[in-house]
Amino acid sequence: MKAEELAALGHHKMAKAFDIILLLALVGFFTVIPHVSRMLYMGDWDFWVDWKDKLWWPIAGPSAALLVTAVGHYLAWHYLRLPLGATFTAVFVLVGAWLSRIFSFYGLEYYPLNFVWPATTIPMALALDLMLLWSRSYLATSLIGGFLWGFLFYPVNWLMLMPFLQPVTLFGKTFTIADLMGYYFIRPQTPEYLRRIDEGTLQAFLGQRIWISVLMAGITCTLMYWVGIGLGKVLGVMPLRKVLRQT
Amino acid sequence: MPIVSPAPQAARRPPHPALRQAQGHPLPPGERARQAPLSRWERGWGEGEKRPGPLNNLICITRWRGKVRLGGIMIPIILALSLVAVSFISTPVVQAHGEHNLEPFVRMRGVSFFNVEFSHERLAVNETMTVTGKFRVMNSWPRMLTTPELAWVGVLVPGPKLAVRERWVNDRFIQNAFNIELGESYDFKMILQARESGRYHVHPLVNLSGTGGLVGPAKWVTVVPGDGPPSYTVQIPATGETIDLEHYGFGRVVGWHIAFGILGLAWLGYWARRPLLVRYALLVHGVDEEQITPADRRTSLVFGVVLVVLVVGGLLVTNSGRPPIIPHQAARMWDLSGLPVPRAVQTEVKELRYNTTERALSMQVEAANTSDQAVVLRKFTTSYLSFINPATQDLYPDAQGEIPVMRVEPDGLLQPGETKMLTLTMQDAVWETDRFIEFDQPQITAAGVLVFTDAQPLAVEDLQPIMMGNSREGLGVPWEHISSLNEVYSNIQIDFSGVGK
Repeated sequence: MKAEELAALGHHKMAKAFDIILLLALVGFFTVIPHVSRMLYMGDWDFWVDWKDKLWWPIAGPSAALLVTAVGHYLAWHYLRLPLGATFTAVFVLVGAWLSRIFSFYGLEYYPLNFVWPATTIPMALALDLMLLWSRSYLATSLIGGFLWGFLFYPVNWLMLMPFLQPVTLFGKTFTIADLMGYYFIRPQTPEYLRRIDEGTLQAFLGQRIWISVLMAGITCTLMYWVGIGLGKVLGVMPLRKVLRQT
Repeated sequence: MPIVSPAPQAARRPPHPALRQAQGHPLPPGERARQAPLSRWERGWGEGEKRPGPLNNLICITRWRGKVRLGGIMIPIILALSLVAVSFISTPVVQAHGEHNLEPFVRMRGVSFFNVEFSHERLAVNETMTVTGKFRVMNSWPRMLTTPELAWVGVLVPGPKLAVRERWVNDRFIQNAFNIELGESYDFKMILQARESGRYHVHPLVNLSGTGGLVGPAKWVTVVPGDGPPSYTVQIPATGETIDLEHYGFGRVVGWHIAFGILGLAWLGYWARRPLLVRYALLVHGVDEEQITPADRRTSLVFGVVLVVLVVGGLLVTNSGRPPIIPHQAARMWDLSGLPVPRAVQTEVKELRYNTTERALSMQVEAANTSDQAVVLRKFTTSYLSFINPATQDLYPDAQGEIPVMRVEPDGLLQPGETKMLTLTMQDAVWETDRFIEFDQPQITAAGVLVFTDAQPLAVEDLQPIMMGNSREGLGVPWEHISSLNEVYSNIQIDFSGVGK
């Protein structure tokens, strides 16, 4: 069969039906699995606004988020030559995260949604897909796209975080608005001393610690991209190749 | 070149031994000859013989290797329907929030609560109530656990149905975690604001670093709807703006999520509208780079530009004229001292015994009054439990009969300079129902605090309505009338007599 005839098959009703089934299955999968991964590896940094600091969150957040995103990114390109896997994962993991926030955090526990909003990774995911489309190289994508993923995570989410960092005073003590929300909306099993946030360090770099964090995040994500690719290969390509060989 | 290799020819499965036996083939070694006749499913259907349709096979009973088996398509359907039906069965509401989950030795040797008082048992949304009390971090702390350095106080409720507006420890406002020391006592006060209507079991909670949360005596609190939704306003000094913490900043969060979400969905829509699965077939066919067209590349450039404009523009707009901001504040309090604890009595535990048949914990304590005034043993406190000495009823007329009591022998006052051997017996199922004494522990111990008071008679109105246990309320002696707090701790001698009969 010629390539043109093959391409024409894609417009057949049955092929479209299978495409829709595939899309629905992937939506379900990428709404749940990356969300679980984010809950496990980003955890409280993603859950609470008073954990979104400028030392740990900018590094732990994007590194954890990239793991499963890179799997989707790799599989979409490997099997379908589509530069949309990262964006697809980023969009639907956010759908999963918001469902969890609305029905669990707000619906069951009654935490206000402005206290528990999740971080977005859509802009970095789009950058990752664009890099792969333009370069057609995993290496170049890891060096530029992976770096941008980590580097841009804090600035992009800072657009939403900024108002929560304004200082307020209560009984002579200074809080950020985010701190005050954490103080007010109690988490009985996550007491304040468990909060892993910037407590001050000698490596202050004239107060510009955030630049160190985002640079470190960029480098970490350059490497984490390959962990995701490897995971995609082990979980998504090698088993399927075995199945395809046997049929 | 196709990447899919041709499928190997599947190996034929050998027929079932029973069928081979019926066909006259020799049985493989180790296989037992079968006596029972073959079932129809095992034998199969001959030519011209009508095979039963799916409706004939809704539920069927077959024999397989001599055993009766239940099969048919209805079996999984019945199971699935049963599961659905079970989910509609009305069940009583089960409530628990883990007040018994920690190991007994942690709760008894961790923190003991005193004089815990709730200002309300019913309030409306947005109204506030006060929870006050004292806690002692026990000297008998289980040393196999990390010795705690930091603590945090709060309340144990299912989510922030009651929000904590203020925390005070030893009359100091608490912003973040604070230091504690073993053997010290602390006074706490919390102002709670009701947020959602409902009925809640509210415990004061002390979290200790390296261990977790230890709860105090609880009270049921009912929250009814108020005049409006929950609200907590605060003023931002730099801008003078008054904000409501329940909603502040959410519009901006949603706005950016929608903006980036639209961009992401547009990118997905651009690619996902074309045939998908056939791309794999084309790739296998050798069509690779051609699947991305020049139009795709031009479109991707547009998306790239929009992305840069959105992020850089967003940062520029957000930074221009932004109010002053500071990092999250993490300063802990390291200079908090324990309360001065009265110590008019010296005590020494001679024996601690638990009778499994009577569920009674008894202890022999030698008590010496070293002060110049008479004292009386008022109660024994451990974790969230308190046992009252009923012989003090003449002094403090509280609700005897509704609260747990202990037998003290000999009862009466302990005069200045006097030393007595006291025997305390506390018979209550709570030791086992609330997992305070468990026999599968490597350390079967008990600990608590003996509370002696100054034996000054008090009127009912001078007593405090305090929590004596889990949801049990009584009248307590105010702190200024407490003469001595004495910690007791020992391994338990268990009396199993009568258990094996």
